[in-house]
Amino acid sequence: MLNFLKSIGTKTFHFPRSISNNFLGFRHLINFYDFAKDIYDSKISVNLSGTKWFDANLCAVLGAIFIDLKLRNNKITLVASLENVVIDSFKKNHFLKYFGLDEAIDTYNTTIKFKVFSKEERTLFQEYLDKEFLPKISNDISMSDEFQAVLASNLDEVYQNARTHGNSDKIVVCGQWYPKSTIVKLTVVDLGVTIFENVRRLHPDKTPSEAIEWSTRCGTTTKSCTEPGGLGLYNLKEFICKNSGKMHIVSNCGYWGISPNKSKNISLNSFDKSFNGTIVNLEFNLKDANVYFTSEEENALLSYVDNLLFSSS
Amino acid sequence: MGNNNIINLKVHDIIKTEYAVAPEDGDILFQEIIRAFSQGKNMIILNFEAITRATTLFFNHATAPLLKEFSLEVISNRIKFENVTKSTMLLYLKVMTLADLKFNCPEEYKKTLEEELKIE
Repeated sequence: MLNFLKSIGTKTFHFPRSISNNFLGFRHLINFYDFAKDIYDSKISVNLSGTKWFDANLCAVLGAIFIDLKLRNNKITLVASLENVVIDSFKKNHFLKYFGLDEAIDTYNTTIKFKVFSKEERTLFQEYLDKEFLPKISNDISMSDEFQAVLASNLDEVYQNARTHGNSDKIVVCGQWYPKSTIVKLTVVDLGVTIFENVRRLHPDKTPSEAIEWSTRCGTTTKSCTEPGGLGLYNLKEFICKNSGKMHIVSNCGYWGISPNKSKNISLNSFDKSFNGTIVNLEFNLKDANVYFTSEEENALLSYVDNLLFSSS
Repeated sequence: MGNNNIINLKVHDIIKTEYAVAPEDGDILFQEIIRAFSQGKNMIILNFEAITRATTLFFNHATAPLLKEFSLEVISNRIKFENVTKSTMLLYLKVMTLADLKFNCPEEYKKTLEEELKIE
């Protein structure tokens, strides 16, 4: 009876006043995911009339949930006033356009477009970085080639992780550039195998947030003992710390976050509902992007480079 | 060493993209490296001309598995790089150092992991 009822009528979800890049913001999004996850053949009304702020990069999470809903033959309606600034930003970053709705001109050229990739697309994300993400930010600030390469390479790792570890059919991405504060945010979402599911094969004792924490350590990998791995998320974490940026990972009901200072202050938390996928949410501080500093350990490794370069003499 | 024993592998031509990022493309390069060794090549030059950037995932598949057969020292003597950026070399070195520890010094690798997991 309950399943039959879930398939009829319009179901409404009201978003709160603000959705921001923090634990509370993710909790609201997970509440929406939980609301939506078992609904099929229905009309869903997503009410944003009371929402005054929605961090644009988090469209990636909203979009992933919408895609999931549409796979189960649901029709989604957004409810908001025409002057709603949130809807306006959804038009500018092409989030609405993806779902067949309006788009608008991004007059300030600060949106980093909403985009959906398929698992099979090995390198289209890299083209997106080179044509959409990097040009937006390098228009306004000076970035050294090395900084740019390391930034992009770290983002490449996140995408490739979603393809391989997450094994997700779709990977959803969205960002936002804030030129006045020289901060850029990018969110990568997949609805595939969670970090908790992957890690618990090796460590059944770990909670979802502990599993995320474990996965960010140097050398930890869920691959077998005969396969190399364990550097992707660790490298990204180190880069964010050096950069005084922010990083959040949400997977299953686990939350992992790192603070915007150089003291590597990590916070772990749990949600009371589960997100069956992974959200990697990144904030880069580009104030000092004209130079890339290598750490002492990196300098030690780099001392071997000359021996590895080919010389024809 | 005669030139017949040296082969220049242009990574861009092998993986058919400027992005050395995907593990599948790492597998393709690995097969080419193995083929070169089986053909008696003593030195392989990995030419990264036209490659924009790389990931640790790529090197985990392209070069780290060589450590199951050869020592890091042998690989360092037989595999050289050309037209490669400092950041790509750093990724390669990080991957190979960690993989060498994992495959060839498992006790020390385990100890390193335990130390890492104790931090904070």
